[in-house]
Amino acid sequence: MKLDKLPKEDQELVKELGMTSHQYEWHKKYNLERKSYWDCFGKAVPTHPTMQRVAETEGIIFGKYEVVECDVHRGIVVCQVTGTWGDRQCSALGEAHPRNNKNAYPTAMAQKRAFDRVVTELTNSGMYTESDMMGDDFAPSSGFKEAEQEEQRKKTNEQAIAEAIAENKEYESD
Amino acid sequence: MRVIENLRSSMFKSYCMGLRTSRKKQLEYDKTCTQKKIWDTKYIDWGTKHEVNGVAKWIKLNRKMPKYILDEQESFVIPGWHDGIGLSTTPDGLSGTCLIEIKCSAMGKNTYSEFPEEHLWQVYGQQMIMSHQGHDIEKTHLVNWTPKHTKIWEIQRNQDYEDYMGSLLKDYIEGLVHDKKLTPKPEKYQGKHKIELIYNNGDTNGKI
Repeated sequence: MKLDKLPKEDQELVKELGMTSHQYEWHKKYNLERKSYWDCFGKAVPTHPTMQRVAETEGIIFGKYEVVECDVHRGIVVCQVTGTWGDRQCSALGEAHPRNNKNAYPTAMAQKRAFDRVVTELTNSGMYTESDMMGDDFAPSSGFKEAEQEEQRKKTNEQAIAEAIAENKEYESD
Repeated sequence: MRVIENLRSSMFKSYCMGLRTSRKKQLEYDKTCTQKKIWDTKYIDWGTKHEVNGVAKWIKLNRKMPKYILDEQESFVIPGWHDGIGLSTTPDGLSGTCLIEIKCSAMGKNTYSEFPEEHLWQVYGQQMIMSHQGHDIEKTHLVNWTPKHTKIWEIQRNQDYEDYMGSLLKDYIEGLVHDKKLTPKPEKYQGKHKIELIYNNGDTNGKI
């Protein structure tokens, strides 16, 4: 697929969000829009409502969420869910704990992450999802307070930058 | 008598050339560890608030995440650089060999029409200190951010200027430590700079 053969506005979207041709095909398949994504430093990250829409379009059926671990006082929730799409099935875990989640709703976040991961896997989107990018699930574990504070600072910075990018866009388009 | 321990790069223009604050007045402040009183802090507040927008603009354009930004900012110090007085700097970011300095000008009303040479003291000062601290520094991107328009200048490292600035800083330190008499306005730098406007998304200097 050649970039210059795409409609002009799609060319801009692909460039802006650094989409691969595979990701673009996925995007077109579900008739998505710019607002379906969060711009994570130039990477396309589908939002949770986008993943819900994709799941609905495809008729993915979800089983019951199984709580693997839950300690809401410490902000730790891990849950698992299985999605079925035709003859395909996929299970995924969603986890939220203070090192990868800073909002006050770890249960909802764990549920979102499990859901998004199942849809990502089944539809082969080739992208990380918003609920995953909201924390750094892939950071090496550390028991040291300083390392945790450093990680928290990084997350705060990344969020501040993402918000400022959106703010700059609004300023410039006014 | 207690004097300051480090000269900050953001003040090099005053230490070296008496810009904004005369060398004599600055010396008085530094000998007594006092600060010039700033009555109108709205420009500083604006710059502090919108530094994140300048950093975000740079990231969006370059698609890289720099180090030492925002909450991760760090101060770099050359302790006891001359006669026991050190040099310090806190860059707004560092990406590879490129330092990032954010300037949110005129409360967002307009960008600079020309590159303000006044900022060269800070820019070259940062390059000098960061290089001394083992970072391989080639250039600085000075991001002049306003809500509507942004300009980015690229300033290449200039060893000749660093030598010139270094001698003026040593001169100032000797005034601080040994009461050496300072020349109020030293001779200006005669060499050339490598400064290039590499980004400009407005054509009216940002004037709305």
